[in-house]
Amino acid sequence: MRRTYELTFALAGVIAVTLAYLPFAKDGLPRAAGLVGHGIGILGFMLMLATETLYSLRKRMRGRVFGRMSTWLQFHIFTGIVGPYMVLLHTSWKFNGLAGVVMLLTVIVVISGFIGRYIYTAIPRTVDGAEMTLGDLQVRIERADAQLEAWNANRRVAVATVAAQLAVVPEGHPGPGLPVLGRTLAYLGHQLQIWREAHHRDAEGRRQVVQMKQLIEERRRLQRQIQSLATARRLLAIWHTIHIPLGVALFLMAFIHVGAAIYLATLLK
Amino acid sequence: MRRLGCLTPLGILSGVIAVLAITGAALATGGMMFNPGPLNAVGRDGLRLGGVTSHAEIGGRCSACHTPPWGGEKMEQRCLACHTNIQSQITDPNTLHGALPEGLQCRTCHSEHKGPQATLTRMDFQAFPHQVLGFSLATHQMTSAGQPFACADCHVQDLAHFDRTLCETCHRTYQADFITTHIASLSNDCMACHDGTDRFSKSVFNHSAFAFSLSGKHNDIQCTQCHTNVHVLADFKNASHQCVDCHRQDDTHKGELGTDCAKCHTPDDWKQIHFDHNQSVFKLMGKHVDVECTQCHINNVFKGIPQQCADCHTGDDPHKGALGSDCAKCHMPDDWKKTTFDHAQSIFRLTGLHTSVTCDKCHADQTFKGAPQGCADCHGKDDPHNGALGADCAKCHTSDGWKPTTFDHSQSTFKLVGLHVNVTCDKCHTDKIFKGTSPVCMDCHRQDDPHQGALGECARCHTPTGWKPTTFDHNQSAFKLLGQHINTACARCHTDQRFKGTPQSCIDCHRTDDAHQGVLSSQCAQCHTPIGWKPSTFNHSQSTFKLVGQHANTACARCHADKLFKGTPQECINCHRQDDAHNGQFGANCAQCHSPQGWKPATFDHNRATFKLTGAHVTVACTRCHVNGVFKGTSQNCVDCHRKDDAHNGQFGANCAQCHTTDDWKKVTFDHNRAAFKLTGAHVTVACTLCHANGVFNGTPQNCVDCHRGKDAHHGTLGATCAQCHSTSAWKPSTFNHSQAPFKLVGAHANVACARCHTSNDFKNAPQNCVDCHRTKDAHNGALGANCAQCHSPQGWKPSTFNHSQAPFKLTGAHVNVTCARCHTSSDFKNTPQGCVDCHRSKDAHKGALGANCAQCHSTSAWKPSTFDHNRAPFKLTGVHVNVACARCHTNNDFKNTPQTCVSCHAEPAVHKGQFGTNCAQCHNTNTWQGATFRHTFPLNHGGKGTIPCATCHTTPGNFRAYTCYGCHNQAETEKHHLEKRITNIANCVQCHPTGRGD
Repeated sequence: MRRTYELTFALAGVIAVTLAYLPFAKDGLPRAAGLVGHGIGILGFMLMLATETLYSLRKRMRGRVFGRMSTWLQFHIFTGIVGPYMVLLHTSWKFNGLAGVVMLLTVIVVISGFIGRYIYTAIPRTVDGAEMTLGDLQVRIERADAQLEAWNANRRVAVATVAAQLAVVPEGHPGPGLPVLGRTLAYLGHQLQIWREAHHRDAEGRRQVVQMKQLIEERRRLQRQIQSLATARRLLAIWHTIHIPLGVALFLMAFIHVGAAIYLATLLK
Repeated sequence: MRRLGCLTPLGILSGVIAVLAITGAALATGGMMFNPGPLNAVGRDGLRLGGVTSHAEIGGRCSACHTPPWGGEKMEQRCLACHTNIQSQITDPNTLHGALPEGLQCRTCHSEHKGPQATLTRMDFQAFPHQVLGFSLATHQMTSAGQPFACADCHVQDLAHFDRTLCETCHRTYQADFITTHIASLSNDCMACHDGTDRFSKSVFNHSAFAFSLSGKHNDIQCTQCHTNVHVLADFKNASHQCVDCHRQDDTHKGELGTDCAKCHTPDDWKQIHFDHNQSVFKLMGKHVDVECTQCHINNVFKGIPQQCADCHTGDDPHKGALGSDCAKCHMPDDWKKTTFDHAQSIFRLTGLHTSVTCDKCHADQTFKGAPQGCADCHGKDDPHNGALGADCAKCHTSDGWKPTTFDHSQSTFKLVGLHVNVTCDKCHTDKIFKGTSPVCMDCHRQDDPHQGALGECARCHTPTGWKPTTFDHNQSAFKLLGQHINTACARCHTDQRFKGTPQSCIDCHRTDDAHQGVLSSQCAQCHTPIGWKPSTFNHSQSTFKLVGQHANTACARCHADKLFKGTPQECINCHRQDDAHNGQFGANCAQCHSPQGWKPATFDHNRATFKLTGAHVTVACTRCHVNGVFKGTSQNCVDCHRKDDAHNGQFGANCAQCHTTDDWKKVTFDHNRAAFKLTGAHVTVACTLCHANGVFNGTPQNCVDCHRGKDAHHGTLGATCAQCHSTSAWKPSTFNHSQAPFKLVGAHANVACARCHTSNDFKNAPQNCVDCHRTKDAHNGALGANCAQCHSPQGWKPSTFNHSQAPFKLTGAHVNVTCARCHTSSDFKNTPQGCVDCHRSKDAHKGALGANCAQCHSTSAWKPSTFDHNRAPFKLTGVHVNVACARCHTNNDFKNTPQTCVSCHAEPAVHKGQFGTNCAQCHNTNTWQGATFRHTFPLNHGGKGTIPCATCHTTPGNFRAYTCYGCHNQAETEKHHLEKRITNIANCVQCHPTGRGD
């Protein structure tokens, strides 16, 4: 599985926004209705709107598509973190009336988004973001077994023997409440065993152990996905049920807040 | 595109709830939910404006203050509608709000929603245009305590009021003395003059802008010293510009010189006077300029001062008035002594040194009239002639100086020529007596005469040009001067300056020079000439001993010792006794063998002796054989002279001539072929000493190894007879026949140098395994064993003859022509991996995604076409899919993650309009899109209504599994019908009615 950097980018974005905000906060927090406060609020809300709309639109596009789903999901996560943070700065830490409720809902939706993202990653997908079926996973695990077997066949007996020992990954017994999130102590112990095996070998031996580890990891990941596929799908459906209404309420209230601010302050003569 | 994801029932419900909640809250609290902060709750003594005592009472009625953007009304109108007192202030420019400039809005200074106790006035002290109210805050930024000014510091009661006495109260706290004086001299109405810009401080106020500019000491005085009785700003203009109005008491002239002091004085100092005396009738020049005014203007009287010189200088007149009262006739104001009298206008003109003589030298006692004019009147005391030459000095002297005089000696009887011209007058005219001086030489030169008067008048031999040279001609005398006599000083012969009676014999002058000490004669001229003592003119050939050879050049003294020329012995030995190398053994007559030409060569003929000289003996020095000059009885045996040269230590006897000649030792005449060991090949030119070491010729061993042992490359391993393989011509090439050895040389071995295999010249134990010689070049590092001949031949390493078909990995297809090194990298042939990907990893278009076994799909003939059996894959190829290019579905060579849904390759056509979902295979097969074979499990014609739209039953777009029967059947009747039959679970109609039929 490819490593993704959306959380790193989001953290960098939050730091950049903070650094840009600090000079204005030197003599007290900028007012929410001031130029800086309004500016940062509008930008943040635009990002939140983009978070909610663009990814959803891409998911529902058929025919000609723009970009991979995984890329859009990364963008969704980035804007979903940086946008609310800018809106939080816009409040100048005053949570009166409707504006306070909107901010509270924003925080809840962001937390919900984090949970949803974790569940999402537990469901095996193609590179394009499409979900895999159980059959797909079984085919893949057969291939992984074949690769591991071929790898052993091409290695010296000593290496092949070790590989055969290490290939058996203890899955452990994750708790009943955490079928998706669990990463057992037994698995960590197995990682340590592989590291020791590699540590006692020469450079070529270590390279081979690393290759073997990658094959074993791939096989284990597929096995774990098969085990948790049904649970993850069920959890994702529940999450959708909660997350979407929260988002709808948030944006409705936000639009009303924006309209009232324009009516009562911006256009005031 | 499907509907937006947020429009789920729960999403819509959530939105509706949110709108309802907001609406409810708006109805319950007005605009409180939009309130950014609480309103001000501070009242003003219960004052009620607009029905409320504070803004907080307005609560959620936003519209009480906020106007709709589309209306014409402004917010400040609503403010003034309640705050009527402010409305009335605005019309009065004397009030705070009335004085404010146009364009300001209420919320420029007043803000709300900051909290119940927060101030409503948010006035920016810096930005408020206080100057429009008549007083700038430019100099009131910081208090005397160093704190920023606040409005309340001046507006104690409220912003609209200001107590004018507050200025004095505040400023007195830190400048009490100044304020007391300032108010006493001016007034306590500060605002009458000050507007807050501090324009009266000395650093800012510019007095030059007015008619009276301040300079000098005027800058330092108090304003009130000139501006008296000032109470308002306009009073400053009343001050007078006349000097005397302020300085009347300072006027020492009591008004005599008018009222404008500035005509003479400056503001810097009274004593700095700038009166221009040149504008008066008496101009100041010279020392008059520096004279103090009071020396002429006594008691500050400046008018009516007398202007005659004598009026001031009567006491200074040394002439006691004799020359009149106008000093300026002779004197200048610069200096008394710089007189302007022109002596040229008098009868006695001053020239030469007279011009620089001080007046009193001639005009003693300041007497200028009647001064005497004769030279002697002044120079009588200076006359060295004591009046002998008269009183008129000018006859011989000029005013330029006593010397030189103007007397012309050529006019006298004694003309001055030669050295006489430069002789000072007093040399001849002693005691300054010029008359009666003697013209005779001796009268002046008596003391100079070295002849003491013996020769008479000097001019006979000398001229005034100099004593020397004299004009005497010796050739006129009896002794003519020749040769070196010409340059000889006169005194050498004429001692004591005596010229008469000088003797003329040679010995008279040369007695001390006579080397012969008088033995030969007193007439040196017999052998010598005046040219020089040497050479003498004696002719030896006329003597009994003729000089020939080296005798001719021999110094006379070598034979004539002690300059004795008479009786000199003539035998050789008399002169050459010390030169005789033979110590007299051959007698006293050297001429027997030697000639006067030189000792050598001697003229002895050795061939007349018993020992004839030949070869090298001819050039040998005689002393080599005739040591110590002994010639007689010299031995004639070779060994007597050559004992040290005898390399054979006498083993061949005393007669070297048996083998050697006199030409050269090494030209040995020994014939080796007569010996047992004949010389052939390289032996012929070998030096004898190589075999006959130490000159030993007898018993020399004849085995090869006896001479060649040290250079035996085989260290004796091949025996003592080198001639078995080598000849005397050269060591190499040797004549060994390798074909007789166990290891025959073929192929590249035939040309290999012997040393490649026979290292260390070891020919006996040379190994015969391939690897023994080829170990270092074994590209396989020994991995394939020691016998290279298994694959390689002596003809060359390549091509090798390995048969790959016997190996586990058979070569087929393109593998046959691939170079060995492509797979057997590092020449490793044993551990070569046999997995496809081990060689083809870098060119694996699938980047390892399809595993390591390329042969699953590809053959060794070519990568394309691949032979992958798609039927083994989860996605079987049928119909048109069989002929579709792989890349159509497997983009980017990605074969693993290829999506298998129809829609991933086939976009949904518009004709479906989203009605049939994305699983094309439901209706279509892989042969053709046409003729969809969708089999509707539920009979479509069960109701007899003919063709009806799908949506009649499948109401959920895209979901054909969901259906409803109530599109045709009445739901109420259906439920009633089933209820009557006590059937309650009627959700899935098809479960009980799979054919559509009733009951």
